[in-house]
Amino acid sequence: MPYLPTPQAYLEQSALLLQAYPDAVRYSQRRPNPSVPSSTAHQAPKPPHSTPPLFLPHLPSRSSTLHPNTPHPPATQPHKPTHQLTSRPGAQKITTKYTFAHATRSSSSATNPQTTQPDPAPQPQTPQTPEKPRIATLTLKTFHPESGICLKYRTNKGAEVGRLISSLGKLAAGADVAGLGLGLPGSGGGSSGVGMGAADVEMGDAPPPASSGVAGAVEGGNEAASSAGAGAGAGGKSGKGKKKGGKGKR
Amino acid sequence: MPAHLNHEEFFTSLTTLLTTTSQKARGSVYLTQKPWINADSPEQQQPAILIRATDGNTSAPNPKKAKTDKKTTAATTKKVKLSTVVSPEELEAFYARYAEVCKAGMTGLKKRDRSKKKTAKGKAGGKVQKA
Repeated sequence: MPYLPTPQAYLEQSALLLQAYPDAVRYSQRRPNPSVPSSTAHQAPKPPHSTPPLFLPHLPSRSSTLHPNTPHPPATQPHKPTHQLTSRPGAQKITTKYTFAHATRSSSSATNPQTTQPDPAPQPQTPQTPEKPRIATLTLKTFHPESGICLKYRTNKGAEVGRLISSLGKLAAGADVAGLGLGLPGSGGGSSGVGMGAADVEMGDAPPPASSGVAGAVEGGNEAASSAGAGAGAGGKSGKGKKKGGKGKR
Repeated sequence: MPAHLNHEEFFTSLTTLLTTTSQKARGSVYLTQKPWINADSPEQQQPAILIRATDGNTSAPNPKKAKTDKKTTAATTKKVKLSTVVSPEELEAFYARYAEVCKAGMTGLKKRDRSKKKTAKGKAGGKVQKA
């Protein structure tokens, strides 16, 4: 599952997701024929990927290649699919996970030999002080069950916690992208999608001029790095598009 | 599912949960938020937000391990589940407090001040202290 590179991108995409699927109560009430308001969905960069699973109920038969994993019942069933047993069918859920990763070096084995050996006496103390042995990870995940869209962001910086949580509050209040007050309004989302194409083009041309001079090498390296990052983001997005289908169908 | 806590109780319990997790440097805390329909007033424009916090433990036995060793199933601790509902009017105040509690409780994350000073003055010293 790909992660978005910056908190701004994550929050912006989450806000766009919220906008693209106005999950008001009205939506769940007029549920019988699930259809996306396509005009709004196409304004956001991500939601168009999600449309295939939503159209699946209209497929004529089970012969579709996409079908084996779909939980969507045939179009004749008006009631909700089982995977949407949430408090609100169309509502997106935001999960913040604060976790300590499993230690590669086993801390449990380090505590065992303390009875026989005098040396590891300080070692049992290390698990009690959190910073020293491990650094926790904060993972934010926005999941929209209707479309299967899942946005994630992962960080280990304590400085971001306050900002992220308050932004989640703004998301919960239904703020749009502008309302989030992100520092870099054009950094993520749609504009980065535009930038990706340009960066990909540059990446093909960057290596040859890079060999001509030191300055060129530095510039080329920067360009390559930036475009590689953008490319990774693009790859993540396309991959996400596929996974979205899988999630929605499961 | 126990009843929803009020905000004060929720924050108290959440502080405890985060603190214990950070002190143990082990385990996870899951915080979720999603819109919540109140059955009494489903027509309201902006929904209330349901906030949940859990430590992710499960009392159900792991189906893979249950057959092989029964010790792990017996040793499972009880799951911590907290939840509260925030009405749209209270969202701002709640999240200000929520962010404070999370900031204070999530001490296992990297500290900004220390890491910057260490990287500025010398990485070796910082690493020795950290490791």
